Amino acid sequence: MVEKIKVLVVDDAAFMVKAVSELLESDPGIKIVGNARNGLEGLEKIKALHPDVITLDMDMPVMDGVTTIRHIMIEAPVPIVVLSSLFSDGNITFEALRLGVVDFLPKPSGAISRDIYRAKQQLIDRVKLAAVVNLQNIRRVRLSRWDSRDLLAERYGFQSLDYLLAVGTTLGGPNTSLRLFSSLSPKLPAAAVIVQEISPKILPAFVQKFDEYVPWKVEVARDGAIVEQGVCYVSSYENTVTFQVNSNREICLQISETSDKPLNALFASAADIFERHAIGLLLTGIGDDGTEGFARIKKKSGVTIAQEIETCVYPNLIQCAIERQVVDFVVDEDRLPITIAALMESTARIEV
Amino acid sequence: MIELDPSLINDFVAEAGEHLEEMEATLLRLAGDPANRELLNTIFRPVHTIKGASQFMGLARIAALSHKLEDLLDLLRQGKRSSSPDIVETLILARDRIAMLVADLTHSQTEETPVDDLMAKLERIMDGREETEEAMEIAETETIDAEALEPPPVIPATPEMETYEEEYDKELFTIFIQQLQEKLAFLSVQVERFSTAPDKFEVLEQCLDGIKNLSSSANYMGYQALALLYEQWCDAILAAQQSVALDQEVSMDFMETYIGRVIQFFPQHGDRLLQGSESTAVQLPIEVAALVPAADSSVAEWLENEVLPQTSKLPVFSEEPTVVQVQPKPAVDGRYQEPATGAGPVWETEGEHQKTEPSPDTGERIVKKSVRVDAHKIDVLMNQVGELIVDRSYFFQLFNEMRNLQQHLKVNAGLDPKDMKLIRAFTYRLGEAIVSLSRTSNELQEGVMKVRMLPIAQLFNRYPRLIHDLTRGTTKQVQLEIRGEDTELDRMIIEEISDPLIHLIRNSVDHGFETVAERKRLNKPPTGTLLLEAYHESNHIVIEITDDGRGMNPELIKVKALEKGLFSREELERMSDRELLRLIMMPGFSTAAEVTNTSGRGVGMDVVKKNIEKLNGTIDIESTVGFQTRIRLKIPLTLAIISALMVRVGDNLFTVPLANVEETLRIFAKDITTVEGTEVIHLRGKTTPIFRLSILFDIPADQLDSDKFFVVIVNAGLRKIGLVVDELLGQEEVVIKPLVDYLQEKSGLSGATIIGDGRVCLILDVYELANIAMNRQIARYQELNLGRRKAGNDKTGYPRPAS
Repeated sequence: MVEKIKVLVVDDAAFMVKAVSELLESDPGIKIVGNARNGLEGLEKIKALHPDVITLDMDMPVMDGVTTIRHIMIEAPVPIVVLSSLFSDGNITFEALRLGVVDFLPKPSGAISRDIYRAKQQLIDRVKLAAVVNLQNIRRVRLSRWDSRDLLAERYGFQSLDYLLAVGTTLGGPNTSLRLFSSLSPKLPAAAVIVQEISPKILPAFVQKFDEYVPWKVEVARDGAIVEQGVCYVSSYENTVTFQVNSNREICLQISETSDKPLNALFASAADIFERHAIGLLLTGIGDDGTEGFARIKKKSGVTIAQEIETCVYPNLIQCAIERQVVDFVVDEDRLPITIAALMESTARIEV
Repeated sequence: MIELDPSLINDFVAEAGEHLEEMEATLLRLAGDPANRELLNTIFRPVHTIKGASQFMGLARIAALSHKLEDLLDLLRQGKRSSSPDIVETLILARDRIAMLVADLTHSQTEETPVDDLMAKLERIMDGREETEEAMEIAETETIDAEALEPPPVIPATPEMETYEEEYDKELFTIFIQQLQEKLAFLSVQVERFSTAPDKFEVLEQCLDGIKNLSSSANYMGYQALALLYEQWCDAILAAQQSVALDQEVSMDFMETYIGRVIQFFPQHGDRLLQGSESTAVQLPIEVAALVPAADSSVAEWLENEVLPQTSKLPVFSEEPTVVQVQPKPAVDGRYQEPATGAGPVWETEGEHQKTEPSPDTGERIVKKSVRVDAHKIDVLMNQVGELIVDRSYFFQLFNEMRNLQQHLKVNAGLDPKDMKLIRAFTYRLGEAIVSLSRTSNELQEGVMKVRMLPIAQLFNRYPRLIHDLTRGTTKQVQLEIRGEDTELDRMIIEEISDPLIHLIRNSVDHGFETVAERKRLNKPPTGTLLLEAYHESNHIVIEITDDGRGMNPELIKVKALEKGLFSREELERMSDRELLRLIMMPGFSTAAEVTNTSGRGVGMDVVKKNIEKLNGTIDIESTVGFQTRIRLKIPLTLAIISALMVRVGDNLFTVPLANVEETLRIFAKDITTVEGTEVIHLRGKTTPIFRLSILFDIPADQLDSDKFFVVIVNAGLRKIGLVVDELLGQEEVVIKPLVDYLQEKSGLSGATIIGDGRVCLILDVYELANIAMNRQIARYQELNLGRRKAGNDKTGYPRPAS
């Protein structure tokens, strides 16, 4: 049998340490190598025990979660899965995801018993996936609050809505999409929709911070919202986003709470409505979702782009699409903004 | 807090949104007139309503904040506190904060944004403590400034060198530096013990581990150049390891060089990093030692102690260490500004809606009723209509030929009257059909053009907030007046003029308007007025940006142009005031004594001019010193079809856009005189230069030496020139077909068109043509004068600005 995944549990509540450990050890592939009651202790244990993955609480004495993440990522990088009940605090979720934690999960709560099985399985899956992450490609997102004076033209200029950028990603997505949108010009004649692996519970708080740090206007994708230029709509992988033309003949979003291959649904719907003005983008992730949607975009003469595998935290999602030969361009992560901008400009020129 | 009923929350959010919009509108007006009681009363109502509703809902923060706001507004409107722009700014911040809280509700059903800081501020204002507090804060920051800056050794970082500073990730960066310090110290120790170590290979292995560790954190931080350096370093060590394995002598000098190079990336922290390695007496390369600022440790410490990464404005670190700026802003405390900036994008749209209110027929409602059509489809349709117009002129031509034929048959062929009658009837019917066709095609053309039209309100409505943002934190007050926002123009043109307009508005605010104090001294109303006006003028839309600021002084422009060596003194003396004003649109020209955040770098106006001219538009500046500046943009309604004058030169046909044509004349050779090598004519007491198209384009003309000429007087910007042609063929609607770039550039041609008989006909770019002609004349004149003046102009382009 393959070596077990070594997990370190960091949480200040003894009960939670026990609960999480039991939950995880119920899977034969996982072994708990230790626990720590605060960030500082966790940091020392990481250096001593060399775990493959750690689960981290946010609200702890001595050294809190966010600070701990910073120290871990610099001093002894290891994949982190955050387990926290502080999901409504935008600052914390945003910081954690920005700093490159693999995922941010709400703490499992026993109150809703029928959910406990799902929560348990989700936790186990995440830890296993975290163990295979390409740590080289986990980087924090460099940010500066964009200066409104520098970007006046971007905010007050007139741009038309010609393109739709549909971004699909699963695990590791929030970090990558954040980096992408911090350097993508909001002046592009496009709207964007991101579907990414993020718990719907933490999504609103995350999006709110997201909005503050990128020049795009970022919103949670809401049912019926009319698609506007310069706006980036974010949705969780647990929902499905499609497009629809409303009675006013405006294009709006349609959200449903099912999650059977939401990336396929997103891409296919973008292809149907925007046709050759649909640009599909696959970022890091796990699974084979999105491939069929990509095929549809290609069929409608849209453009499909995938992040270069080498630069992905998880290459799986993109590998599937590339194998099926539905990707037009494979691009390094740091060249994505340029590529997208160039695509929109060049096709615009051809059409004139 | 009580359990909230979701539907109730939605109602509350919707209603609060309306009130907030109303507040923003009124607050922006209040910003221009802080003491206006009526406005204060108007704001009071929505605040009160929000307070009541939020209390009912049990929304503690909104209720508390709006309550405080209400109290303050009450004091203000009763005159117990005097209103000031600072206070209005705080009111706007409070509105934005409530807006954020309401947004919180829609996101997560709970209030999340903190309000304590703003509450405290409102309270201070109510107690009248605000001024003194701010003064104290400024005093404090100044002392910090002084300490931090004491001996500011200017270290020019090597220009190509990447250096890493962090504004946002302070904490992370500190950890990073700490680790770097530790590892470098560790590496220094390894270097020291290398010579005596029994297992040299092992020591190098240790170094390798350390560097790999550093490399992974550099990668995480996104410092690519640094990561690359580490990679090279690893290679160097591997090489050293190999040498050790082969029992060769190994020098560890390269380690010091690498340590030095790493430290160079962090000029602000060199000190600390050195301390780590210094203890082990590692000698650093001299250039590195020079890079380490003596005073920096204090800055670094000060940074470390700084524990408000989100809420306070942190000093901005850049190449020079002198940039520790804690800006004492007289208008608003920087700390309170941040949330408002953050909320900007979210509430921007609301701002727009409010501005459409005065004209309920435009803006939003038009958009709502509209059909979304792919712009490309309309472009195709437009193109087809263009072709139809060409066909129409073909029919006209056929009709003319038919008439000639009829004449021919009657006179030459001697057809009998009976047959003639048939032919005449046919010609008549053909004429009728053509008239009908032309009416329909005209309407069709107009209709398609209208489809592409949008009201300019879509653009203008964004500017009230722009003005507000631009004037915030300055001592200027500007109110925006908008007229003619329902004027329609081509969607493409709206897109194209959006940037130039922002630039012009920014220019007006930055350079045009005086500060409040200055205006008072000049007996002007303290608030400046920026008027944005749009209206149609025949086939053009005119957009005027008028400010009642200080105006532009032609004398200053003259001095500046001389200083920059753009023109000689004589040339400048000859220029009219209007021509002088136009100089500000030359590349590299800027009269602003100071470069502000946004304008004054001298790269703006020439770009504006280029963009407008690209649209076949003209830009015109009028200014009265001390009174106003008016910038007038005149742009054709559509880019695709223009009416033009057809002329012939030799065998070639040219079209001159009718917008540029002032008049046509017939002159005699004796009317022409030569001044400084240029042929001129006297036109109603004015000297107008004339140029022969045949010479400019080097084509044989009919009667080069005849004594009668046709001259088309064209308007190229502010000067008029005459173009000598062989024949005037008449006016026509032509469809512009663009030329490829390399044909168009500096050719004096802006495109081509196909005329009725299928011939291709080039469209003259009058501005470029005038430039080319003028420059040739200047060049020739200079040659004549044996280069009295050293080459300031090249033959082909604009006069070269002195570098």
